Amino acid sequence: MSEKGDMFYAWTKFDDIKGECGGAVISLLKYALEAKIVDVVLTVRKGYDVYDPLPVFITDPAELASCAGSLHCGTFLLPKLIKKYLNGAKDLKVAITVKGCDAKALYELAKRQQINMDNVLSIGLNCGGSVSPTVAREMIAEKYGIDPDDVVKEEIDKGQFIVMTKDGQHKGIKIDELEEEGLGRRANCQRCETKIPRQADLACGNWGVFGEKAGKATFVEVCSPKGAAVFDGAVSAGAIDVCSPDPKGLEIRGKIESVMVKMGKKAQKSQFAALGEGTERLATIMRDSSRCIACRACIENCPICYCVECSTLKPHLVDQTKTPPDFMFHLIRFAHIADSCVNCGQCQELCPAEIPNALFMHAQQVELEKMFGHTPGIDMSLPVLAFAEERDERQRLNDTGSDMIFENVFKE
Amino acid sequence: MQMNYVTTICPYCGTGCALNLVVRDGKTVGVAPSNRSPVCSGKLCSRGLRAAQALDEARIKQPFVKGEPADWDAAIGKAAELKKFAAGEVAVITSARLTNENQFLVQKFAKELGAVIGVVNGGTGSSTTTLNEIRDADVILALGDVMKALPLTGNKILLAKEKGARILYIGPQSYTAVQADTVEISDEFAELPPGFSTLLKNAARPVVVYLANDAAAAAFAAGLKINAAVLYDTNNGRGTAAMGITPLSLPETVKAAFIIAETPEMEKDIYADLLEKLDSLELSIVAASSETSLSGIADIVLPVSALHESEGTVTNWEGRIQKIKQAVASPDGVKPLADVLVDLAGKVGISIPTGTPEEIYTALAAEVPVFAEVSYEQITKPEGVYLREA
Ligand SMILES: Cc1cc2nc3c(=O)[nH]c(=O)nc-3n(C[C@H](O)[C@H](O)[C@H](O)COP(=O)(O)OP(=O)(O)OC[C@H]3O[C@@H](n4cnc5c(N)ncnc54)[C@H](O)[C@@H]3O)c2cc1C
Ligand code: SF4
Ligand code: SF4
Ligand code: SF4
Ligand code: SF4
Repeated sequence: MSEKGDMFYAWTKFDDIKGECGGAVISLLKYALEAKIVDVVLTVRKGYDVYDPLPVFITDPAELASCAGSLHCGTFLLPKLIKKYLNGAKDLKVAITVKGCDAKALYELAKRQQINMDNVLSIGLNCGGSVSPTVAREMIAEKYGIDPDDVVKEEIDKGQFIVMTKDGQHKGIKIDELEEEGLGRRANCQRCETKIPRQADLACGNWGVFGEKAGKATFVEVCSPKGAAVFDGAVSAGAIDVCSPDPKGLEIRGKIESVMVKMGKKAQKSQFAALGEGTERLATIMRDSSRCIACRACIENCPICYCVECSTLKPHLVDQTKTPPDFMFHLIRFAHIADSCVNCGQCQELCPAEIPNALFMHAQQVELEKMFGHTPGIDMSLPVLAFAEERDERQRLNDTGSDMIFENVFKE
Repeated sequence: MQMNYVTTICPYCGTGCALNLVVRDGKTVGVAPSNRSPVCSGKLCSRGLRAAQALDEARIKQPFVKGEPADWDAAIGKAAELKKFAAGEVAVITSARLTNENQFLVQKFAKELGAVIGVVNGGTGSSTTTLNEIRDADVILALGDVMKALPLTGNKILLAKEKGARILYIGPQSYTAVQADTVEISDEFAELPPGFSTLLKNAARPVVVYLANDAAAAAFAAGLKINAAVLYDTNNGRGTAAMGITPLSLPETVKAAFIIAETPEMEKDIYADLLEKLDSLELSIVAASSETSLSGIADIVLPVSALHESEGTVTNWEGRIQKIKQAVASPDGVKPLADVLVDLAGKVGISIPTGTPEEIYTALAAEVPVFAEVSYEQITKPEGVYLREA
C-alpha cells in the first residue's frame, strides 16, 4: 500500500501503449476509466501534427492509447474546460492530466466553487515548460534549419530543445540560447516555479529515472490518499508495474527541480525589472494596455475569472463604446484577480493586442504575496480578497433586491 | 457524453483565423483557440470568440412563402417562377461569406439562367503582400480603421510596431489612429502628408493597408507603387472576387432577385440598401441560414446550412485558401445551399455541377485560373495554400 510522499518507478503493462517515458500516465488513466473510478478523461492528443495538440474528452478506454506521449506545444489550460463544458464535475467524475499551471488553476477554480474536486482525479506532469506552436515552427525553420513538417517528435532534455525528424535526424539547441532571442518557452514558463505539481493526486515525470530503467519508466510521486488508492489499484489490476526508485535518481530529481526553480526566480527578477518600478511600471502597463481591443479573450481563458456578471461589462465602470477601453478595464482585472494569478500565461498568449497581461498580473501577484502571504494554487486556502461563495452571494443579492455587498449603514 | 474539437475557420472577417468549435453531443457549445493557426496563433477577436453562439442564433428552420410556413416542394416550386423572367430581368445577389465551392455553384446558377450577379459586402483588388510581411514591414501606412475591421490583421501591425516599425495613418479618428505614431485625421485621401512621403520612400519594406471596399483608398494606394494589403472584411470576399464576382450594382431592368443572404450576426444591417428595392420587384427569393431584414419581407425564404454545418474552403485576404470543416448536422428542415441550388436549377430547367465539396472544388480549380494547381487535399494543412497569383 502506498501513501502520500511515496515515490516509484512505474511502467505500463499494456503492449499497445507507447508512452513518453514508461506509459504510466496513460495506463493509470485507462485503469481509472475501466474501473469506473472516473466517467471521462480530459487529456491531450496530437491533432494535425505535433504542433497541434488538442484537448480530448475520452470515455472509451480503448481510445487512450492514441493519447500517449508529451506534446510540448500544448500550451493551453485544461481545468477551465471542466467548468465550461463538464458542469464543474458536479455530477461527472473526471480524470485530468495537469501541468503545474493546470494544477494551480484547478485549485483556484475549486476554491471559488467552480469545480467539484471530490469528482476530480488529477494526474500531474512535471513541466519544464511549453512552447507556442507557431513559435516552435518558426524557430525550427530558422534556427534549426529543418523543415518543421519533417519533425515527428520534440523533447526538452538537459537544457536543450531537441527535435527529431522523420529520417532520424536529431538536433538540439540550448534553451538559454533560444530564449535570449525571444524564442523557446513562453515567457510565463520561463518564470514558472511549479516544476513538480505536488498539488495533483499523483506527480509524474521523467526526472529521476536513473539506471537500467532510464527511458523505460515514469517517475511517480504519490501526492494524496486519492492518488495512492488509484496507484495501488492500477498495480493490483495489472495496468502498471512498479519498483522503488534508484537513490541516485532521487538525488538527481531533487537537484534538477531546485535548479529549475532557481531559473524561474531568476527569470522573474529580470522580466519584472524590465517593467520598471513604481510610476514607471504603471506607465509601462498603461502604455501597453492602450492597445486593448476589449475582445475579452483574457477573461474568457483566465482560470480565476468566472463571474457571471463581469464588472468590466458595467457601463458605469467601463464605457462600453470605446476601443481601446479606458484603463479601468484593466484595473478591474488587476484588483479582482492579481492576488490569485497562477501565471498560466493564457491572457497573454491569446491576447490579439499582444499585451503582456500575464507578466503584468504575475508581477503584481508576487508583490501581493509578499504583503499578504497568500500563495495561489498550492492548496485550498482562500485568497485575501476572495469572494468564494459567489453563487450564494448572487442569490442573496437577487433575493433581497439589493446590489450592496455590504449592508448600507446609511439607510434610514 | 461525446465531446470533441473541430478545427475550422472563423466565419467573420477576411483575416481567416482558425478556431476550434467545441462540439458536445452534436451541438456546438463553444469556441476554443487553435494555437496551431499560422494566421492567428490561437488569438481571436470578440467575433471569433462568439462564433459558436452566433452561428446558431436566429436560425431559419423551415421555408416560407409570402410569410407563411411552407414545405420544401411548395417553396422551390414557387421559386421556380424565376424562369418566367427574361435574361437580364433576374439578379442573383450573393454573399461574400459562402465557401468557394458554394460561390462557384451560385455563379454557375446565375450564368446558366442568364442572370446578372453581384455580391453584397464584397470588394475588389488583390494583395501584393501577406500577414507575415506586414509583421516584418518597417513602415506601414494604414488608410482608414483597418485594425478595427480586421483585428487579427491589426495584430500583425502591432507586432511590426513592437519591432520598431513606423505606423502611419490617414483616416477618421479611430482605433487604428490611436495605435499609429504619425496620424493625419482626414475624411479623404487627397495627398500624402509631407513627412509620410519621405518615410515611405526611405523604407526598405513599406506596406500600404486598406479595405477592399474602399475605392478612394484603393485609388490613393495605387499611386504609391508599394506593396498593398487589400483587406476584405468578410471571410470569403477575396475568393468571391477571385471568381470575378464584383460588388452588386442592380440594373433598372431587374424584376426578380434571388438573394443568398449570409451574415452570421445581424450586427449591422448590410441589406439596408436592398431592402428598399425589394418592394418594387415582382419576385424576391432569399436563401439564408439566419434571419436578416430581408428574410422578413421576401416572397420566398429558403433555410440553408450555416458555415459550421458545411464543408469546403474559404480564401482570406492574403489569398490563402483554408478548409472549413463540418462540426454539426444542420437542424431538421434546413438544406445545404448546394442541394437547394441543384433542386431549383432542375425546376427552372438549367443544369449546374453536382457532387461532394471536393468534386465541386476540383471543377472550380479547372475553370478559375487562380485556383488551378491547388488541390483540395493540399488545402487540408493548417497553413492552407495561396492562390496562384498571390
Ligand atoms: C509540456 C510538458 C513538459 C514536460 N516537461 C517535463 C520535464 O521537464 N521533466 C519531467 O520530468 N517531465 C516533464 N514532462 C512530463 C513527461 O514528459 C511525461 O509526460 C511524464 O513523465 C509521463 O510519462 P508517461 O510515459 O507516463 O506518459 P504517457 O503515458 O505517455 O501519458 C502522457 C499524458 O500526458 C498528456 N499530455 C501530453 N501533452 C500534454 C499537455 N501539453 N498538457 C496536458 N497533458 C498532456 C497525454 O495526453 C497523456 O495523457 C512534461 C510534460 C509536458 C506535457
Ligand atoms: S507555466 Fe509552468 S507548468 Fe505551465 S506550461 Fe509553463 S512551465 Fe509548465
Ligand atoms: S485579450 Fe488583450 S485585447 Fe482582448 S480584452 Fe484582454 S487585454 Fe484586451
Ligand atoms: S491572469 Fe493570466 S496568467 Fe494569471 S491566471 Fe489569469 S490567465 Fe493565467
Ligand atoms: S480577426 Fe477576423 S477572422 Fe480573426 S477572429 Fe476576428 S473576425 Fe474572426
